Amino acid sequence: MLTALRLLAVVFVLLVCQATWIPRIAIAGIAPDLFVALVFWIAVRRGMHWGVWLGLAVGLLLDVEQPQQLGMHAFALALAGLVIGRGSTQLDKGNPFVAGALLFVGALAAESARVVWLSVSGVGDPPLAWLRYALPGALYTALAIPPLSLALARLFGRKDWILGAA
Amino acid sequence: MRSVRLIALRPSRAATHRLRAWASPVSALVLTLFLGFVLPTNARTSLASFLEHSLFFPYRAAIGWGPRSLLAERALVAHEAVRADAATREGAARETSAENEHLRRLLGLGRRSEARLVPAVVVARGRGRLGDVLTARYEGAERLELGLPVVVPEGLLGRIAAIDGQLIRVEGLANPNVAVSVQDQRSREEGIAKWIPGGRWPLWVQGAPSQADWQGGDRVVTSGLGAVFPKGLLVGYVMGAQAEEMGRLRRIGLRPAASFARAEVVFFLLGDGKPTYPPVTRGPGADPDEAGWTALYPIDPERELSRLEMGEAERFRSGPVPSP
Repeated sequence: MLTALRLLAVVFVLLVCQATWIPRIAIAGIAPDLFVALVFWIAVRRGMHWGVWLGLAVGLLLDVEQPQQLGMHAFALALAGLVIGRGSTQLDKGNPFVAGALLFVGALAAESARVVWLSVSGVGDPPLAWLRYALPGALYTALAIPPLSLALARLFGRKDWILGAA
Repeated sequence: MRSVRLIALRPSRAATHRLRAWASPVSALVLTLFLGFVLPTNARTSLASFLEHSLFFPYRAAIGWGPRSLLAERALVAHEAVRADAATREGAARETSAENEHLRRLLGLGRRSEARLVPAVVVARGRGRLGDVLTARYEGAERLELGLPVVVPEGLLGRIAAIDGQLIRVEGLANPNVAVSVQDQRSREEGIAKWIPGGRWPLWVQGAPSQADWQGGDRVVTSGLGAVFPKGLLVGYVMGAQAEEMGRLRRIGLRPAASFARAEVVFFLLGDGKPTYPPVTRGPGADPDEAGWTALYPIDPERELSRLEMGEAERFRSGPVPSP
């Protein structure tokens, strides 16, 4: 119960951050995706199932804003949870570089899923959108989240940057 | 034999475990695909509305979606801040530009004039039924005297009425104590310009003969008659005429060239025996006064004459005003 409440609080704080100061550090309209980071943290710590279902829930939360595309963010974040959760069981998640690469792959999976989803819905040009948004977005997320995560870990007295996942 | 066949068809425990492990994530992905591609659009909208008002209500209350969300409000606030900043910068730039123009005019006046001009900063100003009065702070070393003419780059402003240390009291042209002997610069007609409270125009030349040639738009300068104002200072422009109440005389309405309300720095015209206008090389037949004071007080290219005023000027030009 306490864990669930803590998770809810973290989700809420991240949502507030995503809505407030994250747009300020956007470069050319591309900002780090804190939701992918959230899915990453949970999937690495608690496994693929948690990552997928949390991604689904948070994604639905984002999808509510655009009911026409209901399911897009849910699918993208659930896929990210799947990739990260699966990868974290196979790889050495204690290695910062491996974890960073995992984060990048998860973010790229989520962004790519969004691009594909939109192209199937008839919005946008997939290769161009992938190069313009998906790849830089994933890269920015993979570069921005580790320092932020490390700062948070230090704040809470943890030594690892994935908040106790290792 | 039968039991052996059953065992062979049944999946192994490891395979079952693997299937179970994948069932949950895959079902989540299938669910999202179902929501996105199978569910009708109106059902998606309804589901989104339901989620917004039930499961995600705390988020809706705290942050929200769309144009009324916290994100949108922040964007709006940021936009307003940018607009306010731009407005502030624009206002500062306009102020700087106006100040720059004003200083250029002041510098130009100093350069154009050979008269001795000493500046003073206006510190107080009063306009009312008793006429225009301002107080200027003078910090120069020149000795000032009562009655000295006060000018601004646009023209004559008034005269010194009182001196109290550094504070100089100036009476404007629109003041009952000030009367200026003036001259139409074009026709050389002369008269006394005085302020008449409540009149249509601030200054009037009273008692002008009905045949006198005062035309709308004419520049009116000081005539030099009298001991107060030297000759050639720009006083204003002819704006119209009215018939006097008695006799075949009329009064000429003038608009002062210098704005009393906008004067920030004024100059006292010191009498030193020199001509107050610059010497101008001129051809035969040219009017020295006009040439000199046109150089000193160039005709304001932006001098406003509204269409109504122009119309009045045309009427005025058509002939003398019939006596009542």
